[in-house]
Amino acid sequence: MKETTQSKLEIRNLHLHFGKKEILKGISLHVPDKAITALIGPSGCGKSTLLRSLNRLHDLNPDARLKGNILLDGKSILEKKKDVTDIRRRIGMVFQKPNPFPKTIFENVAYGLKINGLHHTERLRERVEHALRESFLWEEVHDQLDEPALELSGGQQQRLCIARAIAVEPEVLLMDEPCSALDPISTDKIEHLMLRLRERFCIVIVTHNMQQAQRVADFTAFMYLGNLIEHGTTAEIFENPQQELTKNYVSGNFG
Amino acid sequence: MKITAQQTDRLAAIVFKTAGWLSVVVLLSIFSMLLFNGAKAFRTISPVDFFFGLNWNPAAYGQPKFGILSLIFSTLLVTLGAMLIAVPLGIGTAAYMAVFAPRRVYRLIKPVIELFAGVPSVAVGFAGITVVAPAIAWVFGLNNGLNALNGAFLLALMSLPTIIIVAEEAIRAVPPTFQEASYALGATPQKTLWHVTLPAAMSGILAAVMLGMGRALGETMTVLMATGNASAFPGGFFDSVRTMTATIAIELGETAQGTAHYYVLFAVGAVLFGISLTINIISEKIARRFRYKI
Ligand SMILES: Nc1ncnc2c1ncn2[C@@H]1O[C@H](COP(=O)(O)OP(=O)(O)OP(=O)(O)O)[C@@H](O)[C@H]1O
Ligand SMILES: [Mg+2]
Repeated sequence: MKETTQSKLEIRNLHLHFGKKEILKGISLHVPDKAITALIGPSGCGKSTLLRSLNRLHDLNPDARLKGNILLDGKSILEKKKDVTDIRRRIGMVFQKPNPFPKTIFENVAYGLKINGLHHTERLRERVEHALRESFLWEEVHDQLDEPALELSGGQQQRLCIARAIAVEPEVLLMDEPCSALDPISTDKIEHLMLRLRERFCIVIVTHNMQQAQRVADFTAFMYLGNLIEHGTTAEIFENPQQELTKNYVSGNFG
Repeated sequence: MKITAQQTDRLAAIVFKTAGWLSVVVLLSIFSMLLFNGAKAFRTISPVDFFFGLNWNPAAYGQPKFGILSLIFSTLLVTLGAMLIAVPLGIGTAAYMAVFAPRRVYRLIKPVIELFAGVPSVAVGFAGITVVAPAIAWVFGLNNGLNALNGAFLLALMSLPTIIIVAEEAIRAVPPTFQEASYALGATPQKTLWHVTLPAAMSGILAAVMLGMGRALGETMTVLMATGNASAFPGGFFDSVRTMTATIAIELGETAQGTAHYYVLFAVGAVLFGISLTINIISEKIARRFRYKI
């Protein structure tokens, strides 16, 4: 287990309402750099909602209201005047269902680079190849870069989405149940990938799979009904939870 | 006797299948009726004079002229002019409504546009004669605003609701996960719209444009009222034009049955039908290609 304490993201007493409904009820959490933090908890407890607060995706929803603060490297990212596109470039995201664009494999990975102003063909090629290699996808797709991404298998599509996200060199990578739509072999590949990306990124992953959390996560946070119940190293949470709720959940006594 | 759900299903299937085939039959019979009658024109008129003749002047004493090119050119001028205005405006409006408009604004403009789709073409023609034509004449310093530009402008207005409504559907049908993926990479809403949403909606947007174009191409009353109907070969947007539809509408009722003039109007109808059919087939092909590729 890693001994990182430098926190990359700091969530301070975060409240979120959708309309009148309070979904996050005051969450505080330190997310360390160069480590994997897993968010676990029963369905509907607010894991995805919390994750999407971290790159301000709720800005798109006029019903969402946030209170509290989120700091990236000690600086607030919630201030309205902050450039949200810059925040999102620094905090990448991989979604539950693989969602490559209906474009070619190359264009998918190049997209984030292009919209951030990189148009030099040679540089683009290099960066795309680099991202695909890092996602363990290059060997499989290097001779079909101009084929539609939607013709790839589900597992390949998800690794392509990871390549797309890391191509713009974010600092944080958010992953919302990235393996829930995949078979065990693809899942295994993505877990390997995560363990390697951990050396360079701060990773936050939402997962329903207790084994997965134990296999990949350095830290685990348990959420329940919009509250953060307990947070610690993965070993602490799974082997020696302090709260009754956590104990019940990780031992599979409710779900 | 009680009718089971299965029986109603079967009944519905029969009804809809019949209706579908019936429309195919009707379409084919109209086309063959046009072809059959149109062909009779060529007993007295040379096909070369018809298809390549620049002048349409059926009333000329002794030497009537039945050249369709000026009619085709008029129709294309007015239709393409209308599309030049309506396509960017329509897609832009659709995108605004689907992506950017605050709910309150949306609830205001959507019903207005739907209402607009139902305005009768005669009313648009009236507005064309009394408002738009004088405005065009004033702006461009012309004696008379009843010209191709007037027609293009009015047809743009008439095809806009179709284009907006269908294109908006197409844009809304793009899975939000595409947009989210784009935003999550740091794209602005404008870049997301331009590089992700619109390309993903392309087949539906093309369908919208084609429907709008079909509306403009087939529109009769408005152009008949608002474009002056001079049958000379038009030189540009400031000239008066006479479209294929307007020609048929004006002349068919006043022509003696069985004359060459009578039959040649059917031939004009057949050509118009052929043009619409071609546009539809091409657009269907393009749409299918897009659906597969992007
Ligand atoms: N856009 C929204 N508008 C209103 N309510 C929402 C919205 N999104 C989520 N919710 C509600 O917020 C709560 C938390 O949802 P969230 O998706 O964060 O849960 P989750 O922990 O990710 O669940 P799961 O494990 O099933 O993915 C749920 O009760 C859900 O109904
Ligand atoms: Mg979720």
